[in-house]
Amino acid sequence: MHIPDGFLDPKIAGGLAGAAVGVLGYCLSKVKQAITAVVPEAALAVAGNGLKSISIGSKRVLTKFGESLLLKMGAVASLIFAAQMFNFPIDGGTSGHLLGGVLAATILGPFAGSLVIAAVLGVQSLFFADGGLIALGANIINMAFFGAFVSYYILTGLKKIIPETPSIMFAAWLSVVLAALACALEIGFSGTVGLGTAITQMLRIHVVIGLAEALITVALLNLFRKMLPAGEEE
Amino acid sequence: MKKAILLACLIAGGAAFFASTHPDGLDKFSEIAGFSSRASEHISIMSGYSLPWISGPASTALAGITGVLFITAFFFGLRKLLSR
Repeated sequence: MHIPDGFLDPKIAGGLAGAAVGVLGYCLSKVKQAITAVVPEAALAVAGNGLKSISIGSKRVLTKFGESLLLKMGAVASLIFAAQMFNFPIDGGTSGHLLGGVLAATILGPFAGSLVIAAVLGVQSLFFADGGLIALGANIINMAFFGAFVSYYILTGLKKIIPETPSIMFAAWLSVVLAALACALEIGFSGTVGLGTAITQMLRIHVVIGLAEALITVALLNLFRKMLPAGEEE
Repeated sequence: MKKAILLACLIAGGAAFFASTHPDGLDKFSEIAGFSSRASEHISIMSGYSLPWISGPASTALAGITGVLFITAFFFGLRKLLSR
């Protein structure tokens, strides 16, 4: 579902790039808070100079939790990048591939999860020309914001009503449908194709692709949990 | 985490040989609706998931593994940078 350059009106692409910067900045600040702790830089050195100076010169350092979260982010990002290469046939000469938003957010939480999807999209666009450069913001909004961030909160809500596995499967399916809808709206409002056609055609294909997303998400999640020491999840 | 990276390399390598080559949902829609020609692809070192020097599935497998290593390196580098 990676939008190439040329499908979007520059005004829309630009606006979405700005929105993507905002979302990523927010996620980055949240993750930074979670993985670092403030420690006094030279508490001992200034201890003799009175209490006032102790608070001066504190800095943020990476915590043990932070180190392991960054490693896990790298592992999840690599896995999702690879899995996205594995296109599976749908019907009538169409294929689909994993988006991985719900997978990333389930393992890493909404903020680190969104950053991971955005990093994958960035590498795909820069080094593989998979997804446009001007359209990168739109792709981040569709697949990282709607696919991971928003879908995480849908998943959290679902878990309160139904058991975990069906919650994850439904959220994964919905994440693809949401991302497809956002993509259709962007292309439709860009005037590239009729809005109604964009919505119906994109949804028609992606309600099916979403079923595979649900199955792959659960399969990869189980695999990943086996590779992790217990209790190391967000 | 080594296991996850190894698995990612395996999946990327396998995708080169077994993944469907049909267009994905959006690409297919752009073909049916007749606006696929509006797509303009920028020049990139591994455009179309293949290395510039070789062709065929082996090229795609190596490009995929390179991508996995790029992403791993990015997060390892970030960790190094932040833990100083």
